[in-house]
Amino acid sequence: MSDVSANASHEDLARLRGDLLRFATLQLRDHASAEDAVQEAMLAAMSKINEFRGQAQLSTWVFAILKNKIVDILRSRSRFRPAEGDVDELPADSFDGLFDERDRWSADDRPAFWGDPEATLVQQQFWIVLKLCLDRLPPATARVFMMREFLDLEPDEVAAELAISKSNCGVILHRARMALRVCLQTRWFDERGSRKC
Amino acid sequence: MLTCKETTELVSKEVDDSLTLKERLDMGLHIMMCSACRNYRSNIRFLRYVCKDAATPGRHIDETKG
Ligand SMILES: [Zn+2]
Repeated sequence: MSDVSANASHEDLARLRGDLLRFATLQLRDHASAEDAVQEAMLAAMSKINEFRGQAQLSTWVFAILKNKIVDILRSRSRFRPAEGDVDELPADSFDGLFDERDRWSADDRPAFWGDPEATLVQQQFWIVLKLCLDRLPPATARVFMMREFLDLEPDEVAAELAISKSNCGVILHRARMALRVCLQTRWFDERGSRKC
Repeated sequence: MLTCKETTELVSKEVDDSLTLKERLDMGLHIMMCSACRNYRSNIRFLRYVCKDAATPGRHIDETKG
């Protein structure tokens, strides 16, 4: 580790490891495989440590390696539990209660304005609530959402990785967003609103 | 005239795929008159923004602090 500290301090590395672990745990939902993935990503980065100038570049590189590992793991998991048909996890009628008989928003469920994301991001509690909402998504739905929004894959890439159709992928993403939005509204924005106002 | 439910579907399609000219116009018209769907669209953008942030090294706040 001594040659590493020439570029990045041990605290920097510990912080980076914490970031990586949180990121991996969010998506893999299982601490042991998250630890493994982070370990492998760190090792892969260490082997190229001499090519880096500074912590920022190292972080970016390790994150990129980690994202690839997570895609691999999610892909192999989907082989054991195919995602085709996983639209059924959140059936089409899951959100019917939000709309009236003419498919307009019900009075109590009309989406509210959330304000500037930057102002929300700095609040520690928000991340805990976001994680809680992600954890409440059904597993295959969460996998599709993570690949799209956290691993930044295009929908057709997600569909190909998980061997589902692109339209199926689109439907799963839409329902994941519907569910997450409701969760964040009730568990974060409503609570904050009632506390503040 | 699109329903709110249809509009939410187009909001996702806009993000994941692309909208046809007709879909863009229909959604634009609905959103102009429906603040709930306007907020929905902005909520989805908000959601994407925070996910992107969580996936960016060093930007993420340490939840063990504070
Ligand atoms: Zn509407």
